[in-house]
Parts: sequence; C-alpha cells; structure tokens
Amino acid sequence: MAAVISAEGVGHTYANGTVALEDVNLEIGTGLFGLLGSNGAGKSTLMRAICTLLVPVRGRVTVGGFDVVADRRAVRGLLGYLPQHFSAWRLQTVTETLDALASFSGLTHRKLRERRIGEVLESVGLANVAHRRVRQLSGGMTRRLGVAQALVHEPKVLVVDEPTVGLDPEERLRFRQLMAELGRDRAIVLSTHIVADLGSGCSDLALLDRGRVAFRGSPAELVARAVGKVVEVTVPEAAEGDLMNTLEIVSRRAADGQVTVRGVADKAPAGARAVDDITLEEAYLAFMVGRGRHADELDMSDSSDSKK
Amino acid sequence: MVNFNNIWAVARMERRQTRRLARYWVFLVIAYVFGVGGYVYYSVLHALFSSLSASVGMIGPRYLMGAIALYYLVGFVLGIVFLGFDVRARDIREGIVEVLDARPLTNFELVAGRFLALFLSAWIPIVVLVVLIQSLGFLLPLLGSPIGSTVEPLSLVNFAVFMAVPGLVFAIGLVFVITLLVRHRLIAALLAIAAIVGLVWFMFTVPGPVAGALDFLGAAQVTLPSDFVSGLLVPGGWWHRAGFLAIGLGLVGIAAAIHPRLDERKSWTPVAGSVALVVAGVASLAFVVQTRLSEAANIERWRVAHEARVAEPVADIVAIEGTVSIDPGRNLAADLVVELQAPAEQSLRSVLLTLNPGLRVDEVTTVDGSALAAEHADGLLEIALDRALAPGERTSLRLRYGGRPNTGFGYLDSTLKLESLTTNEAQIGLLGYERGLFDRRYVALVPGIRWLPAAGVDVGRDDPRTRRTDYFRIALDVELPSTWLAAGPGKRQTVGSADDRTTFRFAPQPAVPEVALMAAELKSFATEIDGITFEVLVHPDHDRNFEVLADARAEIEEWVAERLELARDAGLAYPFDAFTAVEVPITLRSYKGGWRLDTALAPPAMMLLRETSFPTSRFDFDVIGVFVAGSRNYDQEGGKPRIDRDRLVNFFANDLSGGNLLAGAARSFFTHRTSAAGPEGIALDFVLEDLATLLISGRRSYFSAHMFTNLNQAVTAVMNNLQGATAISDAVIRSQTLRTDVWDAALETPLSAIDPSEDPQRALDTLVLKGGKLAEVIRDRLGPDAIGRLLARIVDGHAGGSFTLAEFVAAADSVSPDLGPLIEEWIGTTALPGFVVRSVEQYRLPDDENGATRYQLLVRLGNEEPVVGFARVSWAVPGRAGGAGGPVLVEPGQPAGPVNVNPVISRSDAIRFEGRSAQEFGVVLTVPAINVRVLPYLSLNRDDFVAGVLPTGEPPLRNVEPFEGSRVIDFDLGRDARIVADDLDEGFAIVTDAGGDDFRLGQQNDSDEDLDQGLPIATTALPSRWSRRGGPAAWGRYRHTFASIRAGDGSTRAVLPATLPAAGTWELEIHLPPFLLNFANANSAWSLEIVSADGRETVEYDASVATQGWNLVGEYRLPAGEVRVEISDRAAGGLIIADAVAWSPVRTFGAGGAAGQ
Repeated sequence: MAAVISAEGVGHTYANGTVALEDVNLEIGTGLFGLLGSNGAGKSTLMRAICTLLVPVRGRVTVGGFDVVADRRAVRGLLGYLPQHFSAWRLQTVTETLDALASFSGLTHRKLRERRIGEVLESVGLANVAHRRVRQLSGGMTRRLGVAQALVHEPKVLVVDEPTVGLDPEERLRFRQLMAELGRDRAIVLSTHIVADLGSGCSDLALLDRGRVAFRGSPAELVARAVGKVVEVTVPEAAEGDLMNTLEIVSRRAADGQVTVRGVADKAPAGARAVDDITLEEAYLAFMVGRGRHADELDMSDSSDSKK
Repeated sequence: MVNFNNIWAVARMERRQTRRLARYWVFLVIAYVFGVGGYVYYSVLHALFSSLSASVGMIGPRYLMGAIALYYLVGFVLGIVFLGFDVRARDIREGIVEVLDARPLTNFELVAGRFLALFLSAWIPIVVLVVLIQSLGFLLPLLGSPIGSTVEPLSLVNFAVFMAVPGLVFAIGLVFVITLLVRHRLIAALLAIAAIVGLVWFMFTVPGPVAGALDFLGAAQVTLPSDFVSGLLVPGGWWHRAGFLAIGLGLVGIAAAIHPRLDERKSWTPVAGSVALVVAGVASLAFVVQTRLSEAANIERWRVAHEARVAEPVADIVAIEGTVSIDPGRNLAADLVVELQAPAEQSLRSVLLTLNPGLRVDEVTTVDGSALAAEHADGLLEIALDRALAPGERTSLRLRYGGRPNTGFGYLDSTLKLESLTTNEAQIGLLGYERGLFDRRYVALVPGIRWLPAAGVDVGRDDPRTRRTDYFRIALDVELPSTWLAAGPGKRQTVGSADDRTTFRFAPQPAVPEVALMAAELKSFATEIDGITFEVLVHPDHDRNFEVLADARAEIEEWVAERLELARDAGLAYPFDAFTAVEVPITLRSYKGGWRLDTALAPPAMMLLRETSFPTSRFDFDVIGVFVAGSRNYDQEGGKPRIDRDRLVNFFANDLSGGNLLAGAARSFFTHRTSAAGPEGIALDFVLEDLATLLISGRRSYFSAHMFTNLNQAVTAVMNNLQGATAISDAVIRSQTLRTDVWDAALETPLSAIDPSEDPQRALDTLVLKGGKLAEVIRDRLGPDAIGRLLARIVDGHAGGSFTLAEFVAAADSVSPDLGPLIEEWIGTTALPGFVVRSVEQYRLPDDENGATRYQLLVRLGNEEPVVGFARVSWAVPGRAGGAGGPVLVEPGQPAGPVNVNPVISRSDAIRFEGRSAQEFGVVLTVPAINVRVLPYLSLNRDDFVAGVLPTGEPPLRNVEPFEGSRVIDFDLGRDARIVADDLDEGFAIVTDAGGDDFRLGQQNDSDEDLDQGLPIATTALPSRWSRRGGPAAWGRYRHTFASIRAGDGSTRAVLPATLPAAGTWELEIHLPPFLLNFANANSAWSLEIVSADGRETVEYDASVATQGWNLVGEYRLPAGEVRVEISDRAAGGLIIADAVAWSPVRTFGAGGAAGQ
C-alpha cells in the first residue's frame, strides 16, 4: 500500500515547553486510519501538522507526496479537514457555507459545486436545512455541517478530529458507515478517543501515548495483544468494590445479588476468567493499562463531551 | 500565483455576510438619509430661497451635491471601520478559522476578497445613490414637483469615482492594517476612527498644498461643477487620486502580509509589491504637493519681482487700440497700439508694463515700425524706448503678442492666498478659484490676469494712498468663433464675419480703468432703455427666468429708466452705450487681490453673473408669496409684474458674494470713471462708492471675500442680525460692523488713517462702519439729487483721473455749504457723538377739524459729546389686525401704503445735533405709537436703541398745540437725576468666591475668545459664565448692553457699584431688558446683596414680576459713600441679568443727621 501520508521523525514542542510529539514515524495509506490516544497524547498536534496548520519543530510530514511546510498550498488542495472544534459563519446558510468553502478548495464550476453540495448534504442528513442559517443549527447539525464541508470538494485525504462528538447514536452510526464508505478510495485519518468510532471500516491504526507512537498495526493486532488481559469475574455485589483495585472495569451486569464485571488487568484477580470476544475498546484499554495507564485517564466514554 | 476565483469566492461570501449585518444597513440608511436628504434639503432651500439673494443660489443641489459628497463619504468611511475591524476576529470567534486556514487559499486571496467585498458593499450604494439622485432630478419636474433638478453630471462622476474609489480603498486598507496589527477589535476600531478623524481634522487645519496630501477623500481635488466648463479633477488631481488608490491597495497588500495564519507563518510575498505601491502612492502625492507648492512659489516669485520694481516711475496708459483674436483654449493673438504718457514730473527711458507671463511677446515697435527692445519675464514687460520721453510726453507703441494666457497669474498681492489657506478657510473657494479662464468652452479674460498690458507693476493697485488708478480709452476688435458671443466694456458691435469667425468691436466712449472680456456660446436677451443697450448673456440652458419674469419686463425696464433718469437729472448720466450682464462659470474667482479682495464681478459697463446667481435661481417660486400670508398684494399698483420686479431688485441688493448687480452698475457711473488719491484715498473711494450705490440702488451693499474664510460663522452672524433688519444686506453690514474688534479699531482710528496692512478685514469693516455711516448721513441729509450732483461734480472735474480730499471737499461745498466741513471732520477725527434720551412723552391732542384723533409723540434727545452728530427717531404703530409678516419700513415723506402688516415703522429725517446739545423731536400720529427708537448714525451708542417704554392704554389728553419736527431745547432739560450703575461702568466687576475679581473692565485674555470690554461675548441664550450681550432695550449711557449668566450655585456675582453723596433712605431700582426676560422669569428668586460701609444686606428679588425697563426693588437706609449691589448667580434656574441699577434719594441726612431732600 502506497503511503498517502507520511511522517518521518516528527517532533513538536510548544513554546511553553510542552513536548507534544516525539519522533513520530507513520505511513498512512488509503482507507480509514484510526489515531487513538488519550487527551494530550499528541493526536491533535499531529493532525494539525498533517493539515498544514502547524509546522513541526522536527521531522517531515508529507501528504500525497507534498511536504506540508514547503508545499502547503498543494497539500491543502488535497485535504478535507474537520477540526475538533468546528463552527461556521453564523450569518451564512448551510448551502452558502459549503458553497464558499467548496469554492476555496477549487470547486470553481458552479453547477458542479451545486451538485456536490446537494450530494454531501444528503449524505450527512442536512438536506432539509440547506437554507437555514448556521446560527439556527443545533450542535449536531453544526457537526454534520463540519463533516459536509470536509467532504464537499471530494478531497483525496480526509482528516477528522473527534468527529462524532455531539452526535446522537443514530448520527454516529451513520457517520461510521460514511467513513467506511469513503475510506475505500481515499485516506482518512480519524482521530478519536472513542474507540468505537473507528468502526468496522478501520483497517489500520496508531496509538499515541505521550507524543510517541505506542502501537501501530491493525485493530485485529491490537485485539490479539489483549488476549488474556481482558477478563470477566462474578462476585457478590458487596465485594465489587474490592475489584476496583485490581481491575480496570469496562462493563458490569448485576443479577440476583451477584455482579459480573468485565475488565482489563495485567494480573487477573482471583476467580477471573479470560474472555475471547475482546472488543477493540478493551484491547486499547488493555494496551494502555499495560503502559501503566488507567481507564479514567483515557476518557473513553462515547458520551463524553469534555473536549468540546 | 494569485487565484482570482478564490478572491471572488471570498468576496461573494463576505458581501453576503456584510449585507446581513444590521450595522451595515444602519450605516446605509444613515448615508442615504444624508445623501437623498441632502439633495431634497438643498433642493427645497434652493427652490425657496434662491430668488431672495444672488448669493443663496450657491446652495443649489445642481452645483452642491459634489461638495456635500465629502460629508457623505466621511460618514461611510466611519462605517467601514465597523465593517472592516472584524476581518480576522470573526473567523476565530465563529470557529471556522482552522477550516479556512486549511483551505488552499492564500492570505492575499483571503484579504483581497474581503477588501473587494467591503469596497463593493460601500461603493455600490454610492453608485445607486448617484443614479437615484439624478433620476429624482429628472423625474420630479416631470411629475410637476416644484423642487428637484438634475445634478451637474460630472460632479456626480467625481463623487462616485474620483472621490469615492480611492477614498474607500484607502480607508479599507488603513482599517485592515490597523485591525490586523492591533488584533483587539474594539481598540482597533477606536484607532481606525482616530486615524480617519485625525486625517480629516488635519486636512481641514493644515495649510493648502500639505492639506492636499491628507485629503484622502479628494474633496479639494475635484473641480467645482459648472455647466460651462464641466470637468473632473483639478490640475494634479489625477496624480493625487492615483496616489491614494495606490496607497490604499498597498495597505491591503500589507494587510495580507501580516494577516495571521495558524501555521504562524506570514505570507511575505505581497509585501514587496505592496510597499512599492505605498511608496509610489506617497511619491505621487509628494509630486502633487511639490507641484502645487511650486505653483504657489511661482506666484510668490512673480510678486517679489513686481515688488522689487514698485518704486519705479509708471507710465500712464492713455489708450489701447487694436485686435485680439481668440482661438478658445488654444491661442490668443493680440495686435495692439498702446498710447502711453510719461509721468508729469519725470522723464522715461523705458516703459514698465504688466503682461500675463503665459503670453509670448512677438514684436514691440514704434507706430512707424521701428523695433524696440523688450524683455518679458515674471509678468513684467519692460520696453526700452528709442528716445527718452519728456515729463508728460506721449508716445504710441505697437505690441504683438500671443499664446495661451497663464490663468495662474494675477492678484499677486492678494492678502489671502488661496494656495496657502487651510481647507477650512478655503471655503472662500466657493467664490471661485480660477483667476481667469481660457477654455475651449469659455474664455474669461478678467482684467486681473493682465491679458491686456497694464501700466507698472501688478502690486499695490488697490491702495490709492500710493498708486493712482490708471484710466485709458479702449477700442478693441475681438475675433471669435462665429457661434460665440462676447461681453466687454460697452456695446458689442459686429464688424465682420468670415471663415466661421466673427469680429466684434468694443469701443466705449469713456476711459476705463480695466477691461474684461467674456466669451462663449451664449444666449442673448437684450433691450434698449434711453438709448442704452442692456443685454443679458447666459448659458443656453439657463434661460428659464426670462420666461418666468417675462410679464415683469416692462416694470423692470421702467425701474431701470427711473434710476437712469434720477442719476441723469442729477448730472450723473450713465456714461457707456451699453451695460452687459454676462453669466460666468462658477469656477471663476469672483474677488480681486490686494488688501480689499474687492469684487471682480463688476468691471466697467458689465456685471458678471455667477452660474449660481440669477441664471439658475428659482424665480418661478416665490417663497414669501406662498408662505407669508398677506405679504403679496397682487391688486396693488403694478400688480404681480411690479412684485416680480421688486423681487429681482431685492435679489441683487441682498447679495453678499460680490454679485450685487445694482452696486456693480453704480461703479460704472462713478468708480470706473474717477477715484481718489492721497492719504485719505481709501476712505474717500469707499464713501463715494457707497454714495454711488445708494444713489443707483437705494441701498448700501457689502462684500468682503474675507468673510468667506469662515462662512459658517459669518452666516450665523448674519442670521443673528436678520431680526429687525429690512434687508439681508443690512443684516450683513450689521453683523460685520457691530463686532467689538471693529468698534475698537473705529474708536482709535480716523477714517483717513485706516491702514489695511495689519488686518485687512478689520480695516474693511471699519471702513464699512465709519465710511458707510458717513455715506448714509450724507444721503439722508441731502437726498439723492444732491448725491448725484456731488458725484457728477467730481466726475466732471476728474473723469479719467483722480481727485484729492481737498477737491472732494470743494465739490461737496458746492453742493451743500455744511457738507464739506462735515466730511473733513468725520474723515479726520476719532471723536464721536453720544446720544442720551432725556424723555419720551406721548399724549392725545384735541381731534382735528375733521374729527380725526391725533396723538403727539415727543422725544427729547441730547448729544453728550462735544462733536457734531446725527440721529433719527423711529416709531412703530400697530398695523391692521390680523396682519402678518415682519415690520414694514416707511421712509420719511413716503406714504405708509396699505397697512397690511404689523407693525408699521416710520422714521424721521436725520437730525443734526451740535456738540453737547439737545433737541426735541415731535410727530403727530393718528394712532398711538407702541415703540420708539433712536437710530444714531456713527456714534458712541454704536447701535440703535429703545428710547423708552411707552405706557399702555389710551394716552392722556392735553390741550396743547401739536408740534412736528425738531427744535433745540435746553441741554440740561429732562436729565435723569438718579445715580445709575451700569454693566459698562468702570467699577462693574465680576467676583467669585474663589477669591478676587475675575474680571475688570478692559481686561484682555490670552485665548482667541472674543471679549467685549472684559467680558466674553454671549453666544448662547444661557451662558455658563457672566457674558455680555447688546440689546436695544438694555440700559446704557451710550451702548446698551447687559451681563447675564445662567443660574448657578451662588459662587459668582456681578457687582454694580455707585457712590451715594449722602446718608439716608434710598430707593433701589433694577433695569431689565425684554431680551430673554422669559428666561429670567423662569426663576422667581434672585439674590441681591447691598453692600455698604454699614455692612451687607441680602435681598431676595422676585424676578417673575419684573417687566421691561426699571423695576423697584425697595428702599434702604444707607450711609454715604460707595454702595455696591451684588447680583448673585444663585437661583433655581433660568437666566440672571445684570443690566443696570439706579439709586434715587427718598430722604437724605446731612452730617448732623438732619433730614433733608
């Protein structure tokens, strides 16, 4: 697979001394690429570097063969970008916003632009609010508009940062399907702390921790690494608290005074049994626990809106 | 590589955004209210008032819309600040900045797109406004509207293109740069506003050419609109506008360079080009400034060259004869024979003439063809004669010259140099700025540009103390395109026509001091009255008033014939065979140079009518007839035609911009025929010119170009003096001559010693004050016939030359024995009479033999000063009930006419008062008078004043003989025995609790504030400090003034001291003028303190019951010596007035305490 995006020895330190990236080497090809990591892991810094919004202090990033520093304009021509915090000009309508942004990305033919705007609005479910002003959109609609603007000019590379924040479950599902669909013929970099967002379309991912690439491989490889570390244990409800110290709890279910807890542990507590239907989320947690992290640091909740 | 699609895409998005901003529409609505409102406002003003005065037409929308564009643009530019200050902040605030920055869009494309959007958002409404206004101008008249006319088209192009485009581009660029540098949008907005307001402020306050460099809106770079010589930009204007456009675009480029991106990289690519644009723009402006400075330097160089030779002997030009061929806009070719005469006391080896430096002297020969050496530099033509001319000897020279006259030449010694005035003062530009015109559409060869040779240097010509006016005969053949007409001195005779050229001859019989020649494609309206051709030449489209006034033609002709007859019967016949009023472009400068800046619109036998004057004034709309009920009685003798005639006469008489046709015509009777010489020359010329104007037009006239350097102040002053004035010209004269500084000068300087070198405007106004009053008193004492005889006597003896004071006095003596001494005394002294009313009495007389009621009005008046003085008495009687309008003035000896207004004012002849004498004036009336005033001529009273308050109700009956006329009475009869302390007395003071006096009589201050004998002059109804104001009904020994202040906290008091000769019980009265009495009454309690050696007594005075005149305060027992009445500003509201207080003894005590009287 030819690399569409390439990062070689990329490092970045902010002016206040915070090291955001350290020797990141990545090659990303066509398809949905997941970028996982906890808050502050360096995901957004890497995304911004890819999107030419930040010049890394060290190393080199290329997109489609173009250097993000030397050939910014060429890179920007290939990109569709949905930042973590997106809104648009409040006084413009949805269509006008997309029309302007599509024009900026080189979609100069009016008819073509109109067609694309129609398609993309349909695909993100905003067709019925096409003429509504941005300030009249709900948070979810604004987020979908963000997706639409990133797609409207059919970019070769799509970079989406925490794309499902604020979406309801139905919208999130549709988004995952859309990403899977789009990932067939373009590179999509999807940065998220919600592992479920990667969905079935994700065939490749990287896990960033403290500015470094801690894992690079397929979701299956990540799951394989977790075998034996994801366990399930059933204890009386009164004893559940004792498990907190030994297990990073992923889920629980209670019945008849007993509670069955599923979690990740380096060292399984007594009575625990390893499970074989490990989810990608559990695998990610297991990996991070293995690096000495705890679940509450990772903020993996899909309802979390803390980053907004 | 710039992607223009991106720029346009940004612009489209940004325009949508701008259009959805409420503030954009607020600015737009305000701008349109100003724009359309201004058009409608000026259209209405023009329709209503332009036929009232030849000066009012200047406010016509056709010529003014371009000028008010400045204010429109300033408003819109300030609006741009609030649209442009969000250029980056909004993207960040609205959360789209990352998406934008990740787009393949350069900073330049983004900023340029936004610039384009903002520019279009501001500019398109301007274009729409222009179209809207012009459409209104077309449609309104078609729809039958009495207002509305099209605006001169090129002035709109100037507005929309040459003012707006560079102005907006510059403003947007400036706002962008400031916004992007400062980042904080509120601070950026404040800074941008400060920068724009600062630029405009500096533009209005720094002098001439430098101001041009700050004139980013281009207000001073566009030509005044004209239907004759419509144009776009003034010379250098193209460079100027291109300069600001370049700077604006450069600033936009710099804004693009400093526009931040999230990658923290600046796009420096546009910087080089942008900086280069800014530099080129600045260089262009510098070039314009330098060019204009060098033009000003040219004038200065010429002036210096002329000044250097001012002492050289001047040959007298006796006659100029020959041909002038004009190819408009291209060439003037003159072939002249000039007859010269050496000075009477000096021989001449060479002749020094002034001739326009733009003309090339081809040949100078004697009349028999011998070539003479001549040098023509700096507008000076020096001709070496082939032999010396003996004193008084004459010779003739032939001059051939040609080329394009330099219309920048002329008026070298002008005390006001338009080139170095601030933009504020350059309002004088409304009087035109082109010294002459040599355009392919109009040729205005005014004398000032010296298109004909003039004797001597071209400085000091308007100072008869050092330079006699040179009068010469003229006979010119003027060759012009065959479609053109020309106006010149005297009758235009067609002498030939060939090859699309026509030759006209101007050969007036009298000698003239100057020659003007105006030529263009003009429409002629001519008539002949008493053998004199009267012709009006106007732009072919400006003929509407001839239709409107067609019915009044016979009346007008009759009126002109009467004036001619009046002058002729007095021996002063109109000397020319024609009088031509010719329309001139608004751009032509209408004032001359020198100290006086006299009108340039009245050359011999001509009157130049500015475009905004009669040709375009709205005589079809009679505002007085429409809005002032009962003011037009169309059934009276003469009917509407006579009313229209009077409107026309008043129209010119009310001119204040040098275009008074009547005053201009009067010059051809006298001023253009002879003038004074010697130390008193300035005063004599002025008085005689005023007399000629009074004779011909019946009224005085006033023109001072100085006034136009602060037009707003002047107009306000005129408006303040309109009340009670019978004509606008009176109000103008009053406003200019009642100024304290003018009076101070008048009291210090005799007429003969007025020196204009220090303060020309003050000198002129002092002349108007003293000389004008002298002319008035001569007119009122002797009547028009005697004036005519006096002027005729001088003309007969000195036509074509000059006269001295002695010759003038001799002529006056021959007309009236007491006139000569009077003139001599008035011209040579600073002493003035001062009038004090002794008493005013009115009683009923027995009915006359027909049973008609009769009332006797007696006014006793004393002249307290030891010099001769003159005064009149005026009285008002109520008019017919239900009448409306202002007062009607009835001249002595004239019937009052139908009494249809309220009140009717009559006045006496001028009464002569010897020094320290008193007279009684009496008049018998059919109804009691309601108001009596004293109207002194030049006196220490300075202004008219109320003689006294007449009791209301039926006057008492006295069975005495009626008395009419005036008679001398005992000087001491009726003197006021009270001890009066007035606000102008020496001891009057203002004290404050802060300590000490803050005012003493005669105090000066360092600020520019105008003081009237130590107190600020009141400029508002409720002044915040004790201020002085004049009022005819205020008390005053001579001047009638009062001090006033708005109610305060009691921290300041006006002190009126008096010295009581004896201890006893004294009655205190306080005098109050009617002026603002309502303000005074608004507060019922004033705090008065009576301070004497016995202590301080506080008196609460109830001002709500006060009436005009003297009001009793109370009786007080007081010691002898100084007693002060202190009027505090402490009151709950309203105005506190300190006019005068009076002490009368009720009972006094001798030293031993015995009661006495």
